[in-house]
Amino acid sequence: MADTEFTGLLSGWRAGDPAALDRLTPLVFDELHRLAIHYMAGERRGHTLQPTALVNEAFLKLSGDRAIDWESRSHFVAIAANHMRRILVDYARKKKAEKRGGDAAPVTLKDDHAVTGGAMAEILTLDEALDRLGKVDERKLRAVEMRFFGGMEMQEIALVLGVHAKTIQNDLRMATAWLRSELSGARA
Amino acid sequence: MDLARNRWQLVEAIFLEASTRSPEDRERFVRERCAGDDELCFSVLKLIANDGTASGGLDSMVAKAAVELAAEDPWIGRRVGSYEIRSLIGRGGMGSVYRAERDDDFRKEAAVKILNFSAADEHARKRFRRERQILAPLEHPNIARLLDGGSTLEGTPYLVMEYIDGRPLLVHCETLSRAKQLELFGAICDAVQYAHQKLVIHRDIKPGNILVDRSGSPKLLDFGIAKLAEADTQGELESPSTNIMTPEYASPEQVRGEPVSVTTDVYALGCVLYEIFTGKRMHRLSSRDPLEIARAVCHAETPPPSSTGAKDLRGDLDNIVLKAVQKDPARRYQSVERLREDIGRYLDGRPVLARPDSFAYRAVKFAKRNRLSIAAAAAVTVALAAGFVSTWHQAQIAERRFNQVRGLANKLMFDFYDRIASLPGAMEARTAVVNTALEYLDALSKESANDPGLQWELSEAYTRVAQVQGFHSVSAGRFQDSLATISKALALQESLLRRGLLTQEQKEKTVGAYQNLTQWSISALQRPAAKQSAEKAMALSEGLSPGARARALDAMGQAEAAMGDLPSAVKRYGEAIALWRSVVTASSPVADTCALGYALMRRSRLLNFLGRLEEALAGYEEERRWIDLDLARFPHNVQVKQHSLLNYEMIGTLLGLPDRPNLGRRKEGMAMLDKAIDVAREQSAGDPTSGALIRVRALLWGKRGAMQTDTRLALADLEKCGDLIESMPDEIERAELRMSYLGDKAQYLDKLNRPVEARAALVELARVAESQLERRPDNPTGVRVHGEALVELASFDVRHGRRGDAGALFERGLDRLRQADRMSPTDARYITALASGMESQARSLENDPAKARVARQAIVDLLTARLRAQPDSKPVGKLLAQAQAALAKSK
Repeated sequence: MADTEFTGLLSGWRAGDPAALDRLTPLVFDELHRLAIHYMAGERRGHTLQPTALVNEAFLKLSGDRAIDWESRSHFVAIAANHMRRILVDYARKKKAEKRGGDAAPVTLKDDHAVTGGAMAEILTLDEALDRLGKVDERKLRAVEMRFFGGMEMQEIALVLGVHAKTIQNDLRMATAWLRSELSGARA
Repeated sequence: MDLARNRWQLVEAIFLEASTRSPEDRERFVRERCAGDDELCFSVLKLIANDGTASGGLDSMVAKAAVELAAEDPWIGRRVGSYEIRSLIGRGGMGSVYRAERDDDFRKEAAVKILNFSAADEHARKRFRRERQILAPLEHPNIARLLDGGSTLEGTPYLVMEYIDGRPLLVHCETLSRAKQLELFGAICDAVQYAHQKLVIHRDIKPGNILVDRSGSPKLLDFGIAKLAEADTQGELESPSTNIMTPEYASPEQVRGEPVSVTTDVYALGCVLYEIFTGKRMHRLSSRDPLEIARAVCHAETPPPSSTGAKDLRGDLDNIVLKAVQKDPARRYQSVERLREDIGRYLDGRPVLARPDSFAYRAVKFAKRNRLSIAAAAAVTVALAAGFVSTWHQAQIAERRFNQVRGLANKLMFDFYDRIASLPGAMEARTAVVNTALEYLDALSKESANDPGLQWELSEAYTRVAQVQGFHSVSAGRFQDSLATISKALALQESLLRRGLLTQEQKEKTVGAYQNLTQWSISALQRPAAKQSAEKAMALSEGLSPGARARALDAMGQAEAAMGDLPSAVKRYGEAIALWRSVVTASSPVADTCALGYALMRRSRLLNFLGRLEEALAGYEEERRWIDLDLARFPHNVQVKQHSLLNYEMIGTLLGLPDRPNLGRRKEGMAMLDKAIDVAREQSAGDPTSGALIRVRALLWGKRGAMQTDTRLALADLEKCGDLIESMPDEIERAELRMSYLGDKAQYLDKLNRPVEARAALVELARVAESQLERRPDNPTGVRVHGEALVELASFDVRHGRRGDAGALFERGLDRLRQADRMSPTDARYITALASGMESQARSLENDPAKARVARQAIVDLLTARLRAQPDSKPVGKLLAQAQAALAKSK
């Protein structure tokens, strides 16, 4: 697609046009997926795959050489972060289905040298916890996505969500503590 | 939801306010603010306990998932064009071939070849497209059709080809008569001739590029693809690219970098015919050295096919092959049609055109050859084409390094390792050897694509390493290492197999590798992969020796047992045992006597579970006789000792372990375990750092304790087990075994009327279960185990009159069990655990019959709902019946 179409959609969405978002979403998703596969193909060996780097690159690709203000960029990353989460979770689900490693029965003393094994992606637990978070506090969910899947700074998140940076700081502090306690199991 | 939101906001407000206070002041502040609302207080304190300025590991969790994603074979599951890539078929010099499916209108299989050169720029893509357009119209029954092709967005070119369900040409030809061989070869010639009429030269005809389909007709693969690749890597020039060409079948003009023509394909066809006739390569190249290749292909005299021992080829058939493979293109058949005609003449019994070289011609050639050999290396270099000259020196350096590394890896694995393998101890030294060898092997296999001899050698070394890894990885997860290594071995062997390059003996080794793969896949809980590999072993073992067949049957038995089909597995093992018995004698290699022994053991173990105890014992005893024989022959062999230990353990278990069907002969059973413990102790002394051996000893003591009738003695054995567990090096394994140990310990102590210690053990058990769960929060089994531990503790408290905290413990435990059930709602184990936990709770309410009834009603309701959702689930039906009975009784 032409870069101009992309920037048009982006500013359309910022101006409050919901149809723009609908058209923007598949573009972002495809570009991210393409990049993820590109990295996976090992054509960039030696680079550590960072989701935030992928998001960044997707933006550069889609926007072409045009200079885009950082506000638009922040809005873009906000969408991309959510897609990044989906890509990683889909992959983890696929792996889980393939490996069926989650059902490892624990070894007991009476087993004949029985074995257990199989690694499970923590990301699925994180995903479920995020879903629960979204149900009680959607803004915190979005802030967390932007922070950890998009690598956004507090100010950028604040801009996209239309609140003060201090609020985002508190949101992230609360959400991180809550997620950590969810992921580490109930501590009595 | 509004309530939850209000609550959430309240929690957040207090949390944020608390976080402005000094750390030591926070808890007091929270308790004050939440006075009278314990739950609120608990929620906030939990957040404070998990508070931190850092991201709390969330970002590394995301990054780890991303890294895992990146390690995947990128192509599988991907779509190229309208095809979805399903699985890897093989890798070759030009790229990787995958099986793919088209899934729009109707499912159609195809082979997708991902070419490993890049068409990144527009110019390269254009050229690639143009070449593809030339190939597209090739439609011939003996040519695999090019269906589609293009470049991915990243610029990687791919081709979609007809998928051929067939077997390698040479395998197919092995059993054919000469006449049938020639007929088949004639069909191959027709296909090449057809392509020549369309002005397409194959350039890379070799047995590996020809399959024979189920109807017996040959199919040529990869038409003109060598040209595509060359066009890309070499620009528009017609020059060779040695990394793509297969030197064994390359013509002299290709080696020299001269233009190719139809007679180039004639030459390759001659090589193929030579190999069909004799089963041997026409040129056996000992290295990739360009000089060596040039010598063999361009200068060495080609011996007639009959010189390999096939006397019936003498005369016409020798002459036909030699005419096709003349080094001078002008002296070959001038077209494939001419070659085809001569074949036809031979089949019809008419005189062929091919004649042996005249004496005069040979004399001239002889003189030339000698002049060359007298001349210095410079002269040889001059004889090489210009394209070669610039690179041959570098290639030679690389070649020398390559051979050095190959020698070193082989030496490490076959000489050095063997010398220490049969000795006890030296665990660390062995690990170091294995890791070093693996590094070299990985480096080598990247460069071995064109050398079947080296590929086989590498695959054997990988198998060897995998077996070493497997032998020392009794524990969980470590099987991933041996799995990864054996998969590398099999990838190489499967590729050789497909190209028809495996001898009978090599195929038998491949069956053995599949057997290993099956076993380790099961250990790693990858049951479908185990089944697949066992099926491959079965298919490949057909027609091979009884031993190979027995290994395949054994693999199938293991796979079926893992899938839960015990009766069929017992049958497979029985067949394997019968085959082994027919070939194994007192002087057979230890690998074979052990194989028979293990088949007997695996069968007996299943028979034990099936309650066929006397048959099981007979099997173990037969196994014992073979082991005693091996021990007499090889008293210091570690593998034999390991086998002996396992056999003692299994006999002991069968004789008297109360947890499964047993013969009720506990005393004798314990005596057997003592023998196993002795062997294990001896081995462990020689190999003190081996965690696997410590683990084996712990488990043996645990089993022995379970067999004791006197609880005090049982506890004493269990304590030995506990001490050993604490000295295990792996933290995760330690925690896992510790849980089982603590559960048994609590039980024994309770029986001995030592409730304070028993309770301490249960509390410790719950703590370990929780810490395990923290490590793997998404493992439903871990959630369940924690829930069960809490319920167990609650029941214990109720039994001992400590009702105070029991109610809360039950609730926490049941919460966990519900959570586990939610994570895995179709797995009956979790609903069973939940129902059983709820029943424990109901039982604890016995002094309040009304409450107990309500609790039992809740179980019935839960199970009724579940049965509605899963009407076919037998376990749920059974649980419901039990729950209804319990409810009726309480009324």
